[in-house]
Amino acid sequence: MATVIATYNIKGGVGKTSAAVNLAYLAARDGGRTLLWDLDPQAASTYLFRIRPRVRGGSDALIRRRTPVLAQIKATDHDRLDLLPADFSYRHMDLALDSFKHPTRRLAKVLEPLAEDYDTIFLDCPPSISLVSESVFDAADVLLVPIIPATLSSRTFDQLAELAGAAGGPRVFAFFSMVETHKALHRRVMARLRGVHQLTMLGAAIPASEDVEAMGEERDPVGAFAPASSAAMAYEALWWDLRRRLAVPA
Amino acid sequence: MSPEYVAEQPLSLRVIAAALDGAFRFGPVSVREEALTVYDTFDGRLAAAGLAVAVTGPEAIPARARALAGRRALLELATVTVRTETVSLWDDLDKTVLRLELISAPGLTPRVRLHGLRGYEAERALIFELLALTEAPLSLTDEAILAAGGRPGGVRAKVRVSLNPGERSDAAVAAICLALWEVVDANLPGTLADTDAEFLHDLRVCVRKTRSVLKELPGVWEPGERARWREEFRWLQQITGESRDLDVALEDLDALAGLLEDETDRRALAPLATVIARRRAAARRIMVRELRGGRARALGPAWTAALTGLPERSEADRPDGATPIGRLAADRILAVARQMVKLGRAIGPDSAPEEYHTLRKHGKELRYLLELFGLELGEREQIAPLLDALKDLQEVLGRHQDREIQAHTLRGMAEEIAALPGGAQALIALGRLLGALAADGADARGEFAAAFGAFAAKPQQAALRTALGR
Repeated sequence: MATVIATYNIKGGVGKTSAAVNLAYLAARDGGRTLLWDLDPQAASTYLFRIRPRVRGGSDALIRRRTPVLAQIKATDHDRLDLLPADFSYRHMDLALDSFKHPTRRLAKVLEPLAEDYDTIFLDCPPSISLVSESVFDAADVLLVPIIPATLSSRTFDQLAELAGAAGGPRVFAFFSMVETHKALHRRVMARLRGVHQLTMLGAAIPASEDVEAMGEERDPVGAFAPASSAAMAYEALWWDLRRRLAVPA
Repeated sequence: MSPEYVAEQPLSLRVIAAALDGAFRFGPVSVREEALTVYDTFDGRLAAAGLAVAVTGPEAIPARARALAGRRALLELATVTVRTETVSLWDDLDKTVLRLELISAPGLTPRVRLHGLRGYEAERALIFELLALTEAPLSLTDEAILAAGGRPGGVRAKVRVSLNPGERSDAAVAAICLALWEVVDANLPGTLADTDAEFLHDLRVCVRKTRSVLKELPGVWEPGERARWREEFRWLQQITGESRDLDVALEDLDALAGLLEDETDRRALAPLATVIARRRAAARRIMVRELRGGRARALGPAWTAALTGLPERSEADRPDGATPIGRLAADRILAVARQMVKLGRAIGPDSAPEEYHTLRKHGKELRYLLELFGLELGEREQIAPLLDALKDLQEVLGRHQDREIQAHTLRGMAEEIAALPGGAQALIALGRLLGALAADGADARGEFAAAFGAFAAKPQQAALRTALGR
């Protein structure tokens, strides 16, 4: 039975896609059969794996299960790591979901046939609160929230934990992303949030790094082209911490 | 292992790049070169199990291969330097759509293996078409074995020669006997070198089958010729007999000891192994001398020449030479089966051991006739169940008789065992073993009625007649 991990934040540009791509890469490298579903119409994950952003029949056909989900999956260049690509039709996914009686259960239904094919499924979610994100809360076992250590972060995290938790939904973990340790504000916010959210704040912090930015150029996870970089090591530590926590029942 | 493909033009990375004609680009190429040795047993057990073992040395042979080989020695069949060039084929986004391995070795046909990626099936099909690939008729390991003068798939004692029911009996018999001789000849070097005990076993099986053909289909041969060859093969069987019996004794030692309940008794049998090994070495010396002697060396060329010329010889003294083999073999098979049923029905709980032995000898004849002729000429699906019932019956009869022979052999070793250190304890254990052998032989006798009943059942015999077109 696959564990479904969604990288999510209401805000954009906080490192969701980078986290999804790098963690999925590490999960596969460690021997797990791994799928990354790019749910963002910008198709950034799809782009990073050099896969053409094309979904036969668009998101509508996928959500209505008119095209089998397995037939849409593409292998990446990395062993055991597959991708379910996005295309621009995903911008209408809300509308497609809205036509169902139980729209928030729909993504879980689409994932059902894949449960035995994969050990871990990552969902790279678009920013915003919408039917798509609510459907993600229903489908995911774990919500992984990247947080930039700035003043509003704590409030964002509280809101999210409440929203996801209210539906009896996934376990929620946060981690610091795009950290600039030379900034006193970042250091202060991190110390404070770690104090308040000890149980749900993962230990590893992903630095704001040129190597992460270079992913767009290299079109590969950091671990594949700069395995000794601080960013690659931070993702290793994050993955190790997350695996350790998931081994413990909620 | 994924299939290997070849193309009409010898494959190289340059040829592949030209054939792809810009539709796909090469990613980085990695090259691996290693000297590999191909291993299999002489009878091709690994190949039969779909396991091709080409490894860097004996220490790299997988445990599964060793288990499959069992008692047989794993032989070095060929050594080749294999160069594997692995390249990713990229689409216009520099995304890998397929991984290709180009495998080459000096003197062998270069071939590729394709490792397709999920979601890129159309690209794989296009690459397959652009390269005009076809499945390799021989795997690289098989080609290497052939190039080294070996036989891919190994040499098995179970020979199969396709027969046409309408063909002349002498031609069919000659073809079968030639195939049997090929196996005898192929197993001779391993027998002489004592590579493993199965060489001698397979050699003797084919000699026995040859003797059966000579005995059961007399009208194909001129009487004088037949008598000559029967004598030659009887001799060959006889000079190899003692060595084989002692091979079996050595192999069966653990199983025999297992008949004893007491661990102390089992351990006390150790001197027995010493005596058997000593006798085996002596018997082998005699056998090897005979097999290297003039009579044995002359046998092969003379026999194959006689077989090749058989269909052309005068038919004056060979009333069945031109008879269609379908008819001749069916007549003989049914006659031997009838005889077996008659003999078996006469056997009761108090019958003498000789009666069981006679039935077993007929059983062997029938089995060989069915395997060599029946399965090829009749309805295979209908014959197979009878053959299975016959094998079960032979197993029971064999156990009954083998226990008597084993007891006789062991008694003959008693004096020699007694002279060895620990001999007194060994003799006590031997006494108990003889008792256990007698009990097991009696058990086999008790199983006879059921095994014979299954073989002789009317529907079974009727099915045989139908299968042979009667």
